[in-house]
Amino acid sequence: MLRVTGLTSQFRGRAGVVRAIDDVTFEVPAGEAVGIVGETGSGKSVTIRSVLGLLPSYGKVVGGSAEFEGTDLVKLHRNRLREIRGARIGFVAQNPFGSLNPVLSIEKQFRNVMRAHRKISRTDLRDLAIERLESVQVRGPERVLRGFAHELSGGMAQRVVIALAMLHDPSLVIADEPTTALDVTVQRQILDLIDTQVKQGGRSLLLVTHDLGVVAQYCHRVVVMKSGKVVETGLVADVFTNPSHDYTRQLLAAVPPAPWAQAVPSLSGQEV
Amino acid sequence: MTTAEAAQVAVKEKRRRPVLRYVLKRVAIVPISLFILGSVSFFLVFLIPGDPAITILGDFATKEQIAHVNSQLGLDKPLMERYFSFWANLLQGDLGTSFFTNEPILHELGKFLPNTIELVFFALIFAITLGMTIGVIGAYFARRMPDRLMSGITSVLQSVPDFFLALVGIYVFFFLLGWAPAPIGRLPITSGSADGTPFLIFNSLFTGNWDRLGEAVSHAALPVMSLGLVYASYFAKTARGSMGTALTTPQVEFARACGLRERTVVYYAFAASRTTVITYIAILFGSLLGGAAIVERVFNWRGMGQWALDGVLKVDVPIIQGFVVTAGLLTLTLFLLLDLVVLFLDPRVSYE
Amino acid sequence: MSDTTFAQPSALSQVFTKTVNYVRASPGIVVGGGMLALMLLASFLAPLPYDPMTPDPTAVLKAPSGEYIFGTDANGFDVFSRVIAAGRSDLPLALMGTLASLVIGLLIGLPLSVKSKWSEGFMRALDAFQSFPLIVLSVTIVSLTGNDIQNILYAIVIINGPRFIRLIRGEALSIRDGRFIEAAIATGARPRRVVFRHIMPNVVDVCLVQCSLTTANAVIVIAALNFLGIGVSPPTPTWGSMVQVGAQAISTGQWWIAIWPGVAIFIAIASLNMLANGIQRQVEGS
Repeated sequence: MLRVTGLTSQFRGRAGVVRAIDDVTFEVPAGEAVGIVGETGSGKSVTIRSVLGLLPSYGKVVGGSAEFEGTDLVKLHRNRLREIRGARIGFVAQNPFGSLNPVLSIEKQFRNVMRAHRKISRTDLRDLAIERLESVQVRGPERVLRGFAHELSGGMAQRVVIALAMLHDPSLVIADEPTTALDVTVQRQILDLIDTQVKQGGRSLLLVTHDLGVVAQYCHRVVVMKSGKVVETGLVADVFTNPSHDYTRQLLAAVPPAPWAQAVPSLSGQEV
Repeated sequence: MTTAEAAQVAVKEKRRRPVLRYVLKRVAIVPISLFILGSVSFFLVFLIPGDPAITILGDFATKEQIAHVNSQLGLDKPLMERYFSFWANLLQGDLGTSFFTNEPILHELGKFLPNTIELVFFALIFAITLGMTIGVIGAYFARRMPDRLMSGITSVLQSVPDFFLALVGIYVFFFLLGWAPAPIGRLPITSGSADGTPFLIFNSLFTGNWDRLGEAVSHAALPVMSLGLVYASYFAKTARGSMGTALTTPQVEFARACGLRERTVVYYAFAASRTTVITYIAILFGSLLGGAAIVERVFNWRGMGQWALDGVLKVDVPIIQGFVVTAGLLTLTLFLLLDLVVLFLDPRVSYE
Repeated sequence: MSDTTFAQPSALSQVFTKTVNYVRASPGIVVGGGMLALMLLASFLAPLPYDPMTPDPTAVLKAPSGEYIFGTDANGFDVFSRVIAAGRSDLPLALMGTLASLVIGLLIGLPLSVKSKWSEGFMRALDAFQSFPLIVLSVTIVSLTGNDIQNILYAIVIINGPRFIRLIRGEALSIRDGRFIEAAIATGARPRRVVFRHIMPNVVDVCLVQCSLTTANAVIVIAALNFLGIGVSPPTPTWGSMVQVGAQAISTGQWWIAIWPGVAIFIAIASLNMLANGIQRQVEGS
């Protein structure tokens, strides 16, 4: 499904060129869920942005490939890549309020996402949007469609984001710390929701998180990253019971007993 | 009912019609502002040092002239009486008569205000369109070649005084190239005075008087551009800033991740930042009106600003008062309009 | 005793290295500040080919040439000498106006930097005031109070004072919320002492940027008023009045009379803006 090989990205900054990720290699097999874990600044986000071609203007992929359904996304023309994003690959971002446009109605945003890939009539779109919102357990979808992002609660807004990401039935879903910005009480609901959506549609999932508990519960495989490099990959069961790398051991040791009790404390004393 | 319940009801009331409440609140401020405005223009006269009548008329004024001006100013009556009669007249739309032309101020305003409104309107449209384009291009190509070019243009435009740009325009486009007509007003001399037709451009457009429209537009081109170019730089700076921020938000990233076309993505950022630029009109409007006054003088545009400047230089007090009140009214109207536009464009405002 | 003697040079050298770093990191400050200094120096010290105050009736409306490098105007004044000499009144006046605006800003802005109904009300009133065409208001006030060049200072203060008040109040408010002020008050410092010892120095950085922007604006205001014939006492040259004199001749092709003083205004404003940008970048960078 998605095979990332030797992916390397750089950022231009005031202090010169910085290598943000170096020789990142992992695979997301069809129908499986893969978690990328690591602390802040380990290159998790840069990895998925490199795959999706969403690096900021001062960032650049300088080596490696990201093969998705047989095409290398890194070498793909940006217009072809655009056609894949949102259609074949759905993206769920960290902060739902940050993700939704504050001044356009939710319906308008559904319409734009729809029309970016497919022509469809207004009424058909509306029916589809309502159906999708219902499938992510949004109550009163008609009212939500008419309204704006600021009228929603955090959990509701993230459901809308998920519905938008699933609109075109993507075969791969990439979620970038989808619950960090949410209340602890709704975090689990959202993860369960993503899990069901992925399983029902027979999709693959690439889940970025700093929470090993989440990986243990929802993923088949895990990729452990540290300072821009992959230090360990493998099946969750293997890696968690028999970590081969010191860093993974430290991470595991830091996991609190109850997965939902709190976030993983930082290893280096940085904020997680 | 407990206070908590009452508060809840109040909140519900507020939720029900936030827009209407907002508008009403906004409109309610207008009379207060008007009161302050009128009072300010009344008390301006007290700034004149010494004997106002002599300052106005010069040292060689006759006793009759002085008495006339004093009664015009109402200086022969007690302060409160003058203040009340000033308001009584103002509320009836009577702004007095000019000392020098003896024309009623309202009549003069009717002649000059439409010219200013047209100039400022077109200059604003021009400035906003150009400024936003420059700003959006710069923000989209942040830190790259086009950005540097656009910010270069912005800083050049920001360093030119509008009246100087007007003169350069006259030299290049009238004297050297002959593309623009002579800077003698709104119409060529052969077409007579434009005083009889307020809102010359709109009027010609709606009555289908194409010849006159052509003349009016060609005479308006330089004034509008010299004013608009300078103010475009301010809008460019604001648009560059707010678009620059908007384009790096997660919101835009998510839009891209959904596969939206680049132009839709830019539109998303634009939609999120446009209210900043619109609000900025309010901040700039005062200085734009002032700049218009000077540009009007350069092009003999016969607008309110030129009229007021002439009046000011001759210490024609009723003209000054008339201008203060009118400029204030214009500003208030514009602010109200802008607030309503922002309310319409940004659904978040009504909830604040 | 030994403490102070020790602290003195180290503070000085700190200031010195800080300045050197500023200059190295920011060409805007060097170029902008350099051009400004050059203009000031030239206007006071440069030898002028002709007396800027006495016209030569035999050389009227001469185009730029080797003899009169910027040409002469309709009265026979040498444009070059006058453009240079005009800096003597325009630039110091702009700087003085800026200083006055800064003082007003500090005097009103700092006391207002408390969150109270009263100070909020004052800011609303200031909003209303600023939304007015202030250039016309200042023309009104200057011409009503007497057509003196010093009165142009009022005009500059009317337009720029409110900006300083707003800026200084905002800065002081945000700094007041900062931790170290809390700490200062917790250690028993009196509120007034907090304002002057702790808030003031922090406001300075931001004020520096605003000062160069204000000076640029002041140059425009002075030029605009002089262009309108306000605060001009002939034959003393000012850039604005020179542009005005040239305006009458530009439709007939004598461009040099208005263009050269205009270019001088442009260079002055551009270098001040550059300076402001340079400082701004430094403040942001550190």
